Amino acid sequence: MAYKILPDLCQACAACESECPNRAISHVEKLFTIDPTKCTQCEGVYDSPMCAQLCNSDACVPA
Amino acid sequence: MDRIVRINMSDLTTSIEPVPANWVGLGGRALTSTVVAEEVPPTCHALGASNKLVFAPGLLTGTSAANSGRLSAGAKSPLTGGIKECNAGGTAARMLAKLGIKALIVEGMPKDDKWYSVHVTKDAITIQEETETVGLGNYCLVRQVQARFGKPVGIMSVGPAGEMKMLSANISVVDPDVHIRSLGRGGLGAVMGSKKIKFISIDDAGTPPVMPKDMVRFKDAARIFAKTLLDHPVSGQGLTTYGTNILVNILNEAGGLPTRNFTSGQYAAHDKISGETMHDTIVARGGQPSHGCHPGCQIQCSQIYNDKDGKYLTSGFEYETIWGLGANCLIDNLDDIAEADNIMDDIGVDSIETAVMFGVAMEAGVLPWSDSKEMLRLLREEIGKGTPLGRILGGGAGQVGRVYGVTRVPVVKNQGIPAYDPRSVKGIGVTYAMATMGADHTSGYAIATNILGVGGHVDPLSKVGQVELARNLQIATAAIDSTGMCLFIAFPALDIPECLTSLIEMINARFDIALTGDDVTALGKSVLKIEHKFNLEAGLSKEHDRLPEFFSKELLPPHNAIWDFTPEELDAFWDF
Repeated sequence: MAYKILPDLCQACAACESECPNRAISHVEKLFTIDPTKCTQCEGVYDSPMCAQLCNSDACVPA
Repeated sequence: MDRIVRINMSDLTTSIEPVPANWVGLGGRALTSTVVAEEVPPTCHALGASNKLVFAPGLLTGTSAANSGRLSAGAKSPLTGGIKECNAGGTAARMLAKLGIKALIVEGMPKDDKWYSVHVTKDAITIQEETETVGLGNYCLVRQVQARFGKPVGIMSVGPAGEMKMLSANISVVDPDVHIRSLGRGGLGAVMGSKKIKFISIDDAGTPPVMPKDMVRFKDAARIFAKTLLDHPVSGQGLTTYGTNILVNILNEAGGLPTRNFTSGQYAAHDKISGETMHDTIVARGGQPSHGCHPGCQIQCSQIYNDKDGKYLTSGFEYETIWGLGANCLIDNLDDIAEADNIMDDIGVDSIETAVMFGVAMEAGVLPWSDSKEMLRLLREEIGKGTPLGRILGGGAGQVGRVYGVTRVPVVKNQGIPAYDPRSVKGIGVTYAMATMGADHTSGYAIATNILGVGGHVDPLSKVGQVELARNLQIATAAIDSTGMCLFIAFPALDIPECLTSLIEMINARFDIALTGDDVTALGKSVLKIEHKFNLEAGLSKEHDRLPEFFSKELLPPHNAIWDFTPEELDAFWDF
């Protein structure tokens, strides 16, 4: 299962984008989105999805 | 664990040291200026072996704090003869912070005539002889270096101007889209060139983001901080939509847009080079009106400007560059200015110093006013190739003024005055005069309060309150420059109380400490005093804290404004 970014909560601070090990996060129309085909929930890289660890507004959640 | 990395170019060795106790609480500008003040003899030759080039991420760099990814670089400046700190976006600062490198200090100078590159990873710092990229411009270099490593490594590099040790040479920093940001001012590229380093590459593979000691507290503060950036009209709307070039029309309206080498405050063709025109052109050609200069940028004031065929022409197209080649040189062709911006990034010269220099060169008759094609030729064929004329022009505005006997030379401490006329925007004039960096608008951006109504209002045409305004802004800026934050967070910080309190709270949560607002002010004061002491010992006395004579002799239309501060009024700046 992939993660997604809730647009109502995303502050577009870009904290998540550069730290995604799969480069699954991109900037679209002032907000950020996760490509579900690339997201692996950071399995094998981090203990838990890094975007959710970093997100200051709890916008990164399971899809 | 944070550490200090030293790269000794005299014996081509590297070392890793623990952070000395008195550097632990420092980052960014506070750290680079402290290292320079402690380790560089103030009277040394800036291009000699005794100078050191220091890179440092800020206190919050590497975390998830919005806009915290600025990289500071410091040294003794070959242009001003005083201390220098520049900061820029790009990817390098975040990578250094993730690698736990609090400062990277380049010292010494090779005894041979070879060029070198430095590669930094979590496992090793290596110095290698460099041949492939020597002589290349920055754009070609970053593509080749990233291809060499097969990944988007961070890069700080010099172009041909840095290799030739020109005083306008800058250091380029690659951004997330493999374009160029610049550690622009004061000739730091010449310092890097003097140490024979063509580029430093950084690979942060295997390093996680910097995690604050108290994550919950940090996130609570970071959320509030990010909201203030979004809510403020300058950081949340104006800069995002039009970039810094929104200022052309605003300064023209205020009569503070220096035109024809600082002989008028208004430019008839201002609309052709304005932020509004630029925005519409970018959109029409399929460029990107909003773009971040570093990972984690929320403001997105950068942009990608395409040519008429929709191909990339330049990025990070700033007001000061557009003003300098536009109104200052009477060039109303935005495409030609964009092409010049790209060339300046590629050959590695400061686009402010170079633009101010062209105004002086036009006054001297080196090229006609408005002649953008000759300006482009001089950049490409003379400065870029280091011909005798190019070496003169590459020395900046002060040098060209001296060579050609021009008396209207807008410099302070030999550094070109940017984009805002000090006679009609007097607060920024005090900043230009007193800044430890030489004429530098970012040292204490009084435009905010004089023109934009941010942080209250101080009448730009009156002397009243300007010294205090410039002092307070310079203190605050020195502190912000130490956090790794983009200076544009100052707009909400001046108007929305929660911005500053949340910023301090993020620092406290990051290190599990208990700084107060007074502590942050004390840090800013301390940085300025360290820098001032260095300058005094380097021979920059209070007589250098002055604007050129012509500002006190020539009235500036349309307000017929004059620079009329007494030396005593200016010297009161240092009463803190």
